[in-house]
Amino acid sequence: MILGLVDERRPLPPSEDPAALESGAALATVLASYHRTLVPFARPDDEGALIAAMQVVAYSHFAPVSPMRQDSGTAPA
Amino acid sequence: MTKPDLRTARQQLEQGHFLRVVNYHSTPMVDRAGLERELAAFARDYAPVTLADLDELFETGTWRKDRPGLMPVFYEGYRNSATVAAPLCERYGLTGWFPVATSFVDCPVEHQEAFARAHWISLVEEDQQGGRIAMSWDEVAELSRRHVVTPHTAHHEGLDTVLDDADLEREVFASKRALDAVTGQSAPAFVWLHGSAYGQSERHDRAVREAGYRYQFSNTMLHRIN
Repeated sequence: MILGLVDERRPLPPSEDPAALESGAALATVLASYHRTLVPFARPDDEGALIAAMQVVAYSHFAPVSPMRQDSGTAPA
Repeated sequence: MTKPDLRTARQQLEQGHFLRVVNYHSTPMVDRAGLERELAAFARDYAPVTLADLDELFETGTWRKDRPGLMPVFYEGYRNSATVAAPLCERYGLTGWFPVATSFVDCPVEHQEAFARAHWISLVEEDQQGGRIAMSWDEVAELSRRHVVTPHTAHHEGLDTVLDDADLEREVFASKRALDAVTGQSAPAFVWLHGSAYGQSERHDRAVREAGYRYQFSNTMLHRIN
């Protein structure tokens, strides 16, 4: 899974890491694409649909394949 | 409060404010080789995320290591998290994050299988062959020296079943006290069953803040709250 960082106390300072900005932009694009493709009916605030799309991003774009990983997103079950 | 939605997720990614997380539950010995291959591959491509790294990331907004960070998270407090997963993390230089249902650890061995079945803790075949399923408090203490151990409530409960002050005391406050007493540290993070996000219930949010947690993990976000 990819978890967004949010500071509930104050705005996060901007990232100065070019690699994070570059890979983040690429991941944002594929997230939007998966969301459109997999859950086109979902409202933007549908958390379940967001989780579904983000799980596919995680499996497809950074996780090695293994039967051990029981889930990549809805972790705290 | 930041609600989980597509626009927010895209913005967080585009701003470079994200971390890669891989979630595990029971990691039985029979699947150790597969887990080792996976963790070795992660360790090759990604850097460990310690608590200090996470604190710095939230302070500066910027990840400072030469490779992206990755957090392997091992949920529930299974014995095999301590005996299988943690040694592999150590072999490959990864920091494991271990959200533990503290009452699972407290449960007498003879009742642990029933506890698991009653509290949404999934069991694989190896967990059902008799003997201890949950990690011991000694294992919790040992893990906390090299990894991050933190409460996943006491009884593996979620917003929908934690309803009054007594529930909050038991699941949010007492679970932290129990863990802190064993580790000698302040447990940094809290995770509800089902990964509910911060901002869904002011009463629950306030309890998590007042208990002294710095972070709340949810399905799509990592919230800094204190």
